[in-house]
Amino acid sequence: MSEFADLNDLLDRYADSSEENGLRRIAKAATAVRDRLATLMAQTTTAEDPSGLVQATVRFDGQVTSVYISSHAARRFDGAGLGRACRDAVLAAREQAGQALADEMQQLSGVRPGDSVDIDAHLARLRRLTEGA
Amino acid sequence: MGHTVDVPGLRAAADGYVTYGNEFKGSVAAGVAQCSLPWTAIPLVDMGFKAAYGNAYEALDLSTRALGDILYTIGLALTRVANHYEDNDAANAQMFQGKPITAPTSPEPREMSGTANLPDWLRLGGEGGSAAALIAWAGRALIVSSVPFGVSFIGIIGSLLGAAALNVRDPLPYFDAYEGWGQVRSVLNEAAARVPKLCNDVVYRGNWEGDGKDAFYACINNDIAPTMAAMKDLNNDMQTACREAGLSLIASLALFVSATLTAIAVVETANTTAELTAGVAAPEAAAIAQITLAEWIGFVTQLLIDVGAVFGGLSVGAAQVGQSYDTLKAFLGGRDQKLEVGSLKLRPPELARIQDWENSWKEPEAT
Repeated sequence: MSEFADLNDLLDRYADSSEENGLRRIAKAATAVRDRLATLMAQTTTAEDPSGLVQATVRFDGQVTSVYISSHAARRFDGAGLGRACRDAVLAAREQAGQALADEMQQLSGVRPGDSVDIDAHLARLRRLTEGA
Repeated sequence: MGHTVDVPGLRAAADGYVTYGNEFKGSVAAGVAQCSLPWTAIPLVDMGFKAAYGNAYEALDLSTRALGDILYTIGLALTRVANHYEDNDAANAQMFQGKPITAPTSPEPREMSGTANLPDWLRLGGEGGSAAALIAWAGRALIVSSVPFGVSFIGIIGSLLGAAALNVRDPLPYFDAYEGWGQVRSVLNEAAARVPKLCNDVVYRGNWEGDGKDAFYACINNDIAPTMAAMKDLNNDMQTACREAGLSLIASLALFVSATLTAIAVVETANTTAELTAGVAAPEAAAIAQITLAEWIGFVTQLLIDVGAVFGGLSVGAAQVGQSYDTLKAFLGGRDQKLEVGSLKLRPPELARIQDWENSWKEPEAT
């Protein structure tokens, strides 16, 4: 069971309970999810611009950690061209990061490929919980 | 050698206790009633705060009502002594039918009402919303706008919104309760000033000397004053807890709504870009939206942990509340030190000592 599925299960189980042990377990599970996300967001991915001469490395949270400009790129591009190459490399790296995040979220959520999520059920649950409050 | 007692002075002081006992109960009742918290205002991950708050509320409610009765009873005992000293035992016969003064009926414990009352609903209606309404409104928009980014995001977001609804609660009841504890605090502070003054009126204005005076003085200083000090401590702890909880929930709610609105804006921008460009520019915007949603998930998870930590801290503070509660029980509790029906009253030995004020005071010149 993933960290998030574990948290979700505990939230469902103790939604109408004030059992202290359950509440501590929820807090512990939330911390596990937080830690997993922090680890995940600190991962990096690298991508190139279309010419392959500039590489950008970004964290999964979108922060750029480094941009490598090859000596060929310095000779081939003028200033504006080099800027575009850098931007393209960063955007490509961010796209990869976004896709990687989506894949990781699938694992974290416990949703398997092909599964569907009932959006109406989520909205109804939210309405029930907030109207109950 | 005649009596040293100034009977009119003593009678005036006794009347002061009787009057103040009634006044105390009346003035404290409204404040205490305002201190109740609806259970729905307490986060699910409350780390024991709910139980600690309920116990402390019940203890203060009981002890304030009991203290008013005790002050009233002390006033009656002093009136009886004044009548006796005046050689007006007929007045005592009329007032007490030859019986000892009995303790007032012990107040019934009242559990804190955890349900939202009519004023709560009216207030929420008047203000046009609550924490729950804000979470529902923002959450619904986020779920709907996140649909293009896959079921895994929707699943996590949906669950975290549920957790937020259960934990990021309405802060307003805490500020109402804070105000209520403030009112009780004013009454207790006034009582802490007035009860010793009334005591001095009895002793000095009544010109009282002898064993009776010593016993009365001991009752006020050894029982009543420490009880009031314990009540003040407990009250202060509860007021502080309500302020901290209210501020924490306000901050959490503001951060939650702000982060959710930001996430909605980013995700909606990605959706709009995809629609306008038939998907050409979508990958960049989609990546930013996916990162934003992941950050929102991390943020809300951290927020839930933070809310739990604040209430966890408050329940550590509840240990302090517990100490004040124990001190109260030591003075007002029964044999087993429990605050319950029958325990919150002057106990027989205390009542006996009060009767002795009259008897040991009759002929002070003989001592």
